[in-house]
Amino acid sequence: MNRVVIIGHGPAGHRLAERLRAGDGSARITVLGAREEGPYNPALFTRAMTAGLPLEWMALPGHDEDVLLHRSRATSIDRENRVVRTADGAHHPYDRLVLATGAGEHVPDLAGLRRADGALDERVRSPRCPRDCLGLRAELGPDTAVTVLGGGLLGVESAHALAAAGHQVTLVHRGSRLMSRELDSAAAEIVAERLRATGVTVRLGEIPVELSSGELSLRDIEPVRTDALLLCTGTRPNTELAAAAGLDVAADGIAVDESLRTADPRVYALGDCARHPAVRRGTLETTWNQADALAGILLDSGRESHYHHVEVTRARGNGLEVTCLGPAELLPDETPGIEHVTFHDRGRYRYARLALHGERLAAATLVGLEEAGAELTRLHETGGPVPSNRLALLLGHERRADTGAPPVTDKVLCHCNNVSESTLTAAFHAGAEDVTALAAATRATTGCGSCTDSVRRLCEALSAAAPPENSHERAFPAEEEDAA
Amino acid sequence: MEKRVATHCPYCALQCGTTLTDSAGSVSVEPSNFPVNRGGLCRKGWTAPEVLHDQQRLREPLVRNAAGRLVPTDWDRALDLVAGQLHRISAEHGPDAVGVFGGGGLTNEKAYLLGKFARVALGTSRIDYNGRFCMAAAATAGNAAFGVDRGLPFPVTDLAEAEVVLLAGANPAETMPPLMQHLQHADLVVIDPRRSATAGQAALHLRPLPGTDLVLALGLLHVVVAEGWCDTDYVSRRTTGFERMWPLVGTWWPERVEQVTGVPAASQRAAVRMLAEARRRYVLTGRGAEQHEDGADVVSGFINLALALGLPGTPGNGYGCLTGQGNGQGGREHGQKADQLPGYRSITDPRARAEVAEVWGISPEELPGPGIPATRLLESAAQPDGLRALLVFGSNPVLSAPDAASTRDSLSRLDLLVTADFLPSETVRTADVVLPTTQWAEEEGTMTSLEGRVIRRRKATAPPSGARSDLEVLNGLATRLGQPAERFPDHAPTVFAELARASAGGTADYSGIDYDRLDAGEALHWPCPAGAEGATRHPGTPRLFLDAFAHPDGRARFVPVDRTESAPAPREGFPLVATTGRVMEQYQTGVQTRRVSELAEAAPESFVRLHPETAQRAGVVEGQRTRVRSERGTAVVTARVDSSIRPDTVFLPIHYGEQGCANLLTSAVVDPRSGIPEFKVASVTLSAAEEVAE
Repeated sequence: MNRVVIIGHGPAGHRLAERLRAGDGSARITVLGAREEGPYNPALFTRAMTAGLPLEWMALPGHDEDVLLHRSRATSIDRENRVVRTADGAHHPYDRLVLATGAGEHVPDLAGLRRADGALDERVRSPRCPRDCLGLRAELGPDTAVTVLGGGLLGVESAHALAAAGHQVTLVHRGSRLMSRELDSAAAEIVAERLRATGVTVRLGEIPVELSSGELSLRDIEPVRTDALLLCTGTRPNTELAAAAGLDVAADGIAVDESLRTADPRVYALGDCARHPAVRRGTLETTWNQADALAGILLDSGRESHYHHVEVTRARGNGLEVTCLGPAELLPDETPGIEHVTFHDRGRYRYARLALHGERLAAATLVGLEEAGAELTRLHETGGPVPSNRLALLLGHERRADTGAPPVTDKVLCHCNNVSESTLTAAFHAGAEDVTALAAATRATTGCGSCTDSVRRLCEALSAAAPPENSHERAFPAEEEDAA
Repeated sequence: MEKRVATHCPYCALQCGTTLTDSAGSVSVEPSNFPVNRGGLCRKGWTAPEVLHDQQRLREPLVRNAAGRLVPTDWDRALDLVAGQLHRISAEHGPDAVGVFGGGGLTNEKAYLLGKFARVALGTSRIDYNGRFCMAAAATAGNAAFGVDRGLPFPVTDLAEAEVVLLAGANPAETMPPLMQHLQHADLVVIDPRRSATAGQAALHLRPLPGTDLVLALGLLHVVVAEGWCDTDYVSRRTTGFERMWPLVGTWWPERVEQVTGVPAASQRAAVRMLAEARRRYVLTGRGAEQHEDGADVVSGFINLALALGLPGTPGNGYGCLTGQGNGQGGREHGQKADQLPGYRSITDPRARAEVAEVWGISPEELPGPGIPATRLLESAAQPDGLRALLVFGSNPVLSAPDAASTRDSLSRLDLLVTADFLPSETVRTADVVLPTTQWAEEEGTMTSLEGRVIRRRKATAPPSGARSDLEVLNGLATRLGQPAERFPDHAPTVFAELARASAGGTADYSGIDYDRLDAGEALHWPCPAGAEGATRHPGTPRLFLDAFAHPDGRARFVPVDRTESAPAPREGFPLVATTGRVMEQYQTGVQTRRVSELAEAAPESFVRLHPETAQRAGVVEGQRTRVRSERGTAVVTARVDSSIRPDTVFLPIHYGEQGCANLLTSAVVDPRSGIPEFKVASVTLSAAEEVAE
């Protein structure tokens, strides 16, 4: 019997259930979800804020009847008897248990964020909550001032998306640089410049003091007008159930091994609630990749028995081209065994820092380099060798003639029919003096037709160069010909 | 005495109009002002008459003798031998031990009669054709979305008004150059892992890693919806299924798609913006998108994109597939497909069976059921209960089927392999009996071009005395198998009239078309049903879907497709991806074009296109003989080094045989929905095959 119980019906639990269902049919899948609705696709939430993407369009695909979805909060895990209890009093026996409890909003200790009853003030919105995103959208007017609190990845993405949509946005961040988990100071500076160019007011190294009517006051300088505050101050893994069940839990999550397994061989964890030894920066893609891997592990499909982590962080947003690959600690100078390549083009918001280990990419940060970002991500994922021409890699490969072949002297104008300039010139001199006549004589232009303009220009050039007496339109034969 | 005849080029599905002049048996060609080519013609078309008089032209039947050599015989002996063997094999092993393999280059009449021959004269269900290798994915996806499969549901000339055209895995600048004149005014968005001739003319070129086309399609659709470009009015009026499709697509945002495909998110957004902001735009797919183990899903992805933008059935807009083979369209409508009866009707539909059986003068119970698709059909020759005999008409599966070494091995196990062809193709050379046939300029018939227009192929010159038309061959075999001669007419107009009757009421209804109308110059696109007696004749249907799609409710379907595998990783020991395609000078497996001196000179041999970085790493230089090895086999070809291709990808053309055969590398994995094989992705490794002189 393979009864799999999944606690949590967010993107992690949802994906795992889908992948288990698509498997060999051996698993009986129960998902315990605390929420009445959803789950939703977090990648779409900024579109809810900026484009009003409706709630139903943000829903992840529904499960079919092979997945038993029980909408009630899990209250305890009895590992000895292998049973989970839910708030409605139900018992859920398992053979394998998966904790997919996700992470909760970290609410900083800041005056004015919470109301007297402890709930968040209605001006405070979480970009992790689809209804909050739609609520924010509903109240955004031409003069609404939005303050994004927190300069991590989500704060940067949210501020960028709102500003790109034309809203007034201030990003307030305690630290001196944005996305400090991912970026070095040079990259962070370019990202800040990019945000400013998009219209975001960026306030770095500012300590917020209080959210009050219409403004967020800061410790050292004047307050920021704030009609709505977007909370991007990070998350805390939801580990209470795991801790109460006696599993190994740290501040950054439930400890799991390479196979996403806790110390209890029947209990697994994945996504934002889990701490996998290789994962430094978890993303939604990480969560889904873990779900795919865990489905294979639980179904014992004979595929890889562990989750192979590839560290990729890719900021979402049109024009926000930020890619971070591999462990950031390999990027600073003086890392033993690592060769570094840096490209810094501040004026055009472009930056690259590569850490190379021999021919392989160990880590990289790329800002504003679209093609290189895409190509290096593929290389990072496949472990392929990095091209030796670093500049071409960063700035684009496309060079026309680099085969080492000698330059072509007689240019082919019509590729479809392989007609060269010399052939056309000869035909012209033999009397074919317009495009139609040249086409009849040489077939040039009769294929795809893209050379028609070139042939016409050649024709004009030859006409201009040709002395009139050489023309075949002579009314009378020359005397020499008669004589001949 | 000079004779001039209006006809069409023998090669691709564009079917350029040409005028042939026969002067004392010597044939020359000129392009005509036919709408699709308007005086244009590519190099293959210009040189096509050379094939008529090729020195190796098959002029008499051949039979393999005891010493294993193909030796000449006469027609009666050859046909008696084949019929006798077929009769024996069928009696001993059942009718399904005999198979028929057709081709997308056969005329409508031949395709129709071949299907009838298999089901009626042989009583076998085992018939399929090489169109399975090229058109199957688009056909499956088109039927699913629109309820009908016509390559272009609008005339080619409509494209000339387009502002933006997205070409997914299509390279018409090389495969059908005269089409490009209709795309001159459009900004092209080209999806291709290499900078093809078409990509070189593009306003925007997206270079996905081969095998990731579906993800790219999903990503583009994601942008359409997430950025508010979706035509919600069209979606609600003219489609169903958006709600089931979108949640899957919602998980493919551009930055995630970038990680899988290698196409920058910014380029995806730029492509969608170009399409969305234009008023007249088209999405077209070609083999690059279609020939995949998820080929039908890829096409469904691009059709979903077109539907979300509101293109199909909206004047000045549309989705289409650029059909490949000359009669790739008609060839899939008249019964040489494993599961179809004439008129593009299902062989499992009781009504279609009854109607066709009546036209054929048999009872519906005598009709076999559906057969098996091409790749499985060929493989079955190596299996205990599989094929014992195979008749191949107008096809060269030894080169065109995936995993060429295994295909050759399977075919070698047959008791009897018969080929009907006009040139000694690689398949002909392995046959037990070879039946020499007439070719394009020597026969009458009809073809159906990529725009669903039925056109006339006309006889311009006399065939060699020993050659017979495929219709005559079928007649000769059928009568020897006990069929009445009139059931298998060898006169093309008679066959067409019967085909038209048999197609009546079907999806591809030809019943209102006859040779007189075609010869009078009418532009007839199917469906063209026969009207009631005395009624005005149906004008044909140049544009489909203007009022309704062909599903019973009149709506198009969003087909929910998704990619569940994560990013493709190279196989251990095979770090590169080989993809296959075409060059301008050659057609299909090159049996015709490799013999034309001008084309052979321009594109003489197979090659592998690779990036300078890749070449350097493999220790290979320009012009060097290079070994390309996959898990299936090894090809030895010449290295062509330039940066027109991704460094992780190499390209081989499909047109060559022997050690240069690209299908030595491919595997026989097929798409579960359509049966199309995976031709575009093979994991390979490279090495030098010879030392280069310094």
